[in-house]
Amino acid sequence: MAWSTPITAAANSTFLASQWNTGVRDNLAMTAPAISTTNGWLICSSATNVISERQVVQSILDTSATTSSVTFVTLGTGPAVTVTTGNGALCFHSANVSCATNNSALYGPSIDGDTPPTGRCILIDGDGVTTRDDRIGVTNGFLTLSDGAHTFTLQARVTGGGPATVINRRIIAMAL
Amino acid sequence: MAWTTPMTAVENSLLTAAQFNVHVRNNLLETEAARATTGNTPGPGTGATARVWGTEGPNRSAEHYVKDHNVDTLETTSEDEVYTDLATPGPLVTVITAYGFLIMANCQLGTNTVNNAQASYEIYESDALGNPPDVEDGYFSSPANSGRAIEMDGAWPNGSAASSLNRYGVVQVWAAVPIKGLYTVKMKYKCTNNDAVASFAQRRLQVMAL
Repeated sequence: MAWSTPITAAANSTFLASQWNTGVRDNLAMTAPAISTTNGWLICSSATNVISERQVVQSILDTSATTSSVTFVTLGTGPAVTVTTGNGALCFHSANVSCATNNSALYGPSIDGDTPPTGRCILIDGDGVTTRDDRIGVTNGFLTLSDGAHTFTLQARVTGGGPATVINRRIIAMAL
Repeated sequence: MAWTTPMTAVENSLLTAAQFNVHVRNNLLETEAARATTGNTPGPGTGATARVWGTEGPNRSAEHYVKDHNVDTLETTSEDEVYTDLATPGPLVTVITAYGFLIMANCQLGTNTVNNAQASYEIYESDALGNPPDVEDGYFSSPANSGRAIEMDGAWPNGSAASSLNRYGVVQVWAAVPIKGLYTVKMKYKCTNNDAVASFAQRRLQVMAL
């Protein structure tokens, strides 16, 4: 099914069934009410004259976890979410994050298994004296994705020493 | 094209060409499928744009752009009176809206003293490249302010601008632009004391037009 420019009727001209089917029925089948299947999803443009419904998904992992790894690791399930996107997604994540030594804790989303750059991550410096576990949220835009399913997984690491602790973890992906 | 309340058919009456064109064709042309677009959008920031459909008044929907822009370079300011640009201005994003924005900003920030580093954003009417109109006043602008800033107290943990840059973020709705048009959201920066040096790195801005 594809969108076609709706026909323009002319007075006293014959109106064919095929014209109705292409110019009206098939176009109605491309509209938002026709493609909607689920409550709470968004409608996004996915190509010229093509719209798609997109999901907003959250995953919660409240348990505390620690790591002293200097490379990113997934703690438990992350948490993680998988959504089917068009060309993009917004990813929101938040957690209480701390570092017990005079180093930094980073906690950010990996997309499809990549290594999160620092700019994606919650970052908390420790001073080795007082361990704070501030609750922080960060949003990232991913607007050059390929169409299809993508998995966002929160991963943590420290810059040295450690451990880092994460708790009350949330990740939300809004497919676009 | 505007939406028209679809006509009600009456038994044994003919559907005229004019009625078909107004009530079927023109209404189809108002649907999201008829108006969905792709391609680059105006302004600075990434050329990639996602488009979410939302309302734009009675019987009207519109594509709402979602765009982002990043500036990773670590830069500093000691400006303590007004929010200012850093050596690399921004990040900044330009979108079309008739209502407002969902604004998501985050960065690493801190100072070398007990004073605070603040990263906020201004909003202004602009051209497609994010430039304000070439006039002194008479156009819409909302200056950066501390009420919507990310703020990091430099006293913690060790007062070293180079190493104590925690990463924070804020998400806010800013509504009520005066008319539909191009608007730019631009991050701006300040320090609470000009004896301090506030540092900012890995600056991120995402804007969803509403």
